[in-house]
Amino acid sequence: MIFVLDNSVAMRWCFESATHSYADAILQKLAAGDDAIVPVLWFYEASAVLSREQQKGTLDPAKAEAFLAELQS
Amino acid sequence: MTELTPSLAQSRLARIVGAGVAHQVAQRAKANGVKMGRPQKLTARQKKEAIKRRDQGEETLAEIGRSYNVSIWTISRITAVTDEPSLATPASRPERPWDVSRVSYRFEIVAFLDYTGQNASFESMEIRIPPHQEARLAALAARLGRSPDEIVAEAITFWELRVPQRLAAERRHSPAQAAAKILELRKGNVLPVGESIKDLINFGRA
Repeated sequence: MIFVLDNSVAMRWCFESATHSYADAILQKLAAGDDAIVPVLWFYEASAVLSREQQKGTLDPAKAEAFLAELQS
Repeated sequence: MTELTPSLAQSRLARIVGAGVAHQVAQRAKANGVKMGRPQKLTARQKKEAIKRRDQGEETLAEIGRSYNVSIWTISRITAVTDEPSLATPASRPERPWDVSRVSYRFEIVAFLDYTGQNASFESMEIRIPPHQEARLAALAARLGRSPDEIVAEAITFWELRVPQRLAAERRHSPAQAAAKILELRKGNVLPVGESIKDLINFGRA
């Protein structure tokens, strides 16, 4: 199945304190082979969020980079 | 994951200011007594106060901005330049990885965002690059007899052509492995108290 992935779902994958059963279920769908489509601005939006958390010291830069790389894989 | 839209090369993203040339022109103008740039929205004292409030961590940038009747972006820019010795308060700020290099890249959208259907593009974008790269670009432009704009546009085009090959080479995970890696990466990532995913998303969309 192909679905449109919202950033609010994907960002929940990145923070242990923000986990949600729905977001985790979506991740499992992707793991099972479903495909997600996103607009090009999606990556800018995700990058803006992760960048902000880096600046605040909440997120390790290496982790943010790896996270983005996995999102694009 | 698949992007719906055309590549950056096909969009109207690409007017990139030749920073090296612009810098030289600005230096000459300053030497002639020309005051550059727009009037500051905040006084130096207000800037210091905003940075202090940011460091205290009790207010979001949006809240700080509202108190001065300026946007979150204004506050974000001000607090992002605290690497300057005159504004920095090293004792009160935790060391951050990018402080080490002292190199910052600032991307400013200087015009409106044109969104039509599946095609989103920036009317123009200014990219400021570190001085040593400005110098390299200016030297290269002089040697080739071309404008920095042309060289940068060409470099982006070459880079874009290489991206699919690079991504294919890097794509060594199966979807299941990628999901497992994501779950592993999120361990220990805890949002600050009072901050929600909604806050993050609203910031990303601001």
